[in-house]
Amino acid sequence: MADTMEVDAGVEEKKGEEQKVPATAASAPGKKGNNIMLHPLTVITISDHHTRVSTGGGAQEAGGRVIGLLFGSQNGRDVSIYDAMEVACTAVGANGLELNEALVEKQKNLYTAVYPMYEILGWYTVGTEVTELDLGIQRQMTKFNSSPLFLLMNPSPAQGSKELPVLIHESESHMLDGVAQSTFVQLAFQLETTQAEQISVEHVAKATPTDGISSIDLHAGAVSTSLRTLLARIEILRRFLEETKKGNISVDYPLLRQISSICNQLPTMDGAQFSEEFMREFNDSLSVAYLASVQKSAGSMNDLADKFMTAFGHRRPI
Amino acid sequence: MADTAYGGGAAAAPSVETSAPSKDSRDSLYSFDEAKLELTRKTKPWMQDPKYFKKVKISPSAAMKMLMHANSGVEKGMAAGGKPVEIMGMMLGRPDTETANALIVTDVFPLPVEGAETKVLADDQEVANYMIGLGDLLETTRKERFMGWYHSHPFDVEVHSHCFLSSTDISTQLSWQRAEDPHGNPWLAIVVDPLRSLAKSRPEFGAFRVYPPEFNAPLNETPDGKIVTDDSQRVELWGACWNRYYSMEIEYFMSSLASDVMGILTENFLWMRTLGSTPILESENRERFSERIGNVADKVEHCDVHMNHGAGTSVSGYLVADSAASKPKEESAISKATHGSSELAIEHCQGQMTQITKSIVFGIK
Repeated sequence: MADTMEVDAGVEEKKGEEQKVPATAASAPGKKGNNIMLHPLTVITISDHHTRVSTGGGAQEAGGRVIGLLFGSQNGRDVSIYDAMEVACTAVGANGLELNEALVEKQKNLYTAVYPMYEILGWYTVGTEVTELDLGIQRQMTKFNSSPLFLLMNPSPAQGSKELPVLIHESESHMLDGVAQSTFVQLAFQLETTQAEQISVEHVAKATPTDGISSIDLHAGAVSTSLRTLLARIEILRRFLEETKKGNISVDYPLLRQISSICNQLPTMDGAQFSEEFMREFNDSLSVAYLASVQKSAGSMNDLADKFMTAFGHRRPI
Repeated sequence: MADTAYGGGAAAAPSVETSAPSKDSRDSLYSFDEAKLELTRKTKPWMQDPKYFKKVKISPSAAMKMLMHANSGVEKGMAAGGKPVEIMGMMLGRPDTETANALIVTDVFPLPVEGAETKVLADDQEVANYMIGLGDLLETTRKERFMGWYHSHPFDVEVHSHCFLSSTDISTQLSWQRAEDPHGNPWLAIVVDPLRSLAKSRPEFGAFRVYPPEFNAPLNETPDGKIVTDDSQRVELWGACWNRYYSMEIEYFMSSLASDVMGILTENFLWMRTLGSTPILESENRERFSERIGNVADKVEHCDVHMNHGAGTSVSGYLVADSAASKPKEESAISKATHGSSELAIEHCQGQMTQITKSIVFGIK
């Protein structure tokens, strides 16, 4: 997964040919072999930050650069990114930008006063590709973490994309002709959620008012998405079983046992009593829906009658 | 714009250009007209009406942060072998300039305050310094200011939620409202019930504002606007000061980017819950079902009386003015009943949809 990131063309020109040398030289103590876990709160916070800046709702000028810190915990080889906090930057020159280290320090102290178990893991920005600016900020970040992570979020994810529009990098330095060079290396990560997080994500997603769309519509959409995802996963399992049968891959007994136990559970309920209860439940719901629509019509009728009375009622002779 | 919350496929593309203000209506709450806000802050309509605010709009990150912060207090207390710890934090936001009667919470910031049993206070010098530091830092990135506080009530799960204000909470909130409300910054209190949230798999928040002491609260009215005459019942639900504050409706909003991301997240892990959980079969919902049907029936019966009366007078042509006067009441009664029954019907349609899908996919046919 650790493909060397293609650095922005502008950087390559400036840094010269050395850039093209394969990234195998002595590297900094990296996180490459680590399990990186990303929490949804981080992603939502970054998208909120981006939206705020792009609509001009923040103190920054509209459309300015979105930069912030990543907080989380590192325990052995497990790195968890829990939270993100925006941070103001200082402009350098025409297009340059650098971290205000005093502000970073302040943010770090405030954050760790509440969550002492978390530390600065790196930083984030929003954009479609890595720029030279990012390398500069990455260098500054090493003052706060010996091997900072760099999260890049794409503000316009492709339609129908199944992947989070997020890339996580770390930098690697190489000694070339006695000059240290750094490049970004992309790292694999997984999504992780705590129960509290999952509850709020789910609820907010459901409760968000979406102008004029029936909530039944939303629910049907959710069910169909879920079924499609289920189908995709089953397809993976089926391919695994087929390949195992053909002998193309080595036999994974624990996994096979798990699959078999799931299959054994499948026909959960059957029998006359069950289907009777099921149908009764279904008919109950139908009558509830029917009564509700009757009542709604009655209500609309009543409204109409009221409006009619207001408009024409006074014309009647007393 | 269909299925924005879930559909990875059909979700509307966010506006690509980052420099121009986004036209997407979902992003409208993320920015505001400063002149308009200044005007609202000057006119202070909330100073005239103690129940001016009716609705609170919360951003997804604020909701997540509050619940996670409350939960970290629970875990911390449990890890120490004791009771869950109460936590507290500040909210950032503003009164809504586009819709009257609404407050917007855009973000929250935890404070290093921990307490036990409804004694969360922020008068500590250290905490005051922390708040000043936080405020200074936020000035570099945000245009909004602190507009409220949240704290948790991590008590054991019971039949009802623990989202209420204790008498200590009320005096804290009142002193803040007195200091901030007249300066154009209406102050909000939110209470989180973390244990119930986890048990019921939905965030349990309560948004409250306190009546000024000189305001005569409506007789027997509990914070949710219901008339309860049984004293033990209202004290159990809303605390000893049940008639000194009122609760507001909570709504969530999301940016276009966040909802796109949320759609992807849904595909990644929420699908299991959609298929795995069956809310209409939960004992709580089942038990309450007949009760709710009963409530709706009561309401319908109640407005029947009104309707007969109204129709009778207007048809026979007597006292048209009188029937007009009684109209607002009658309308609200019938629309309330309709609202209740359509809510029930929607819930059941959704539940049955899931059930039938599951029966087709997993059942024996």
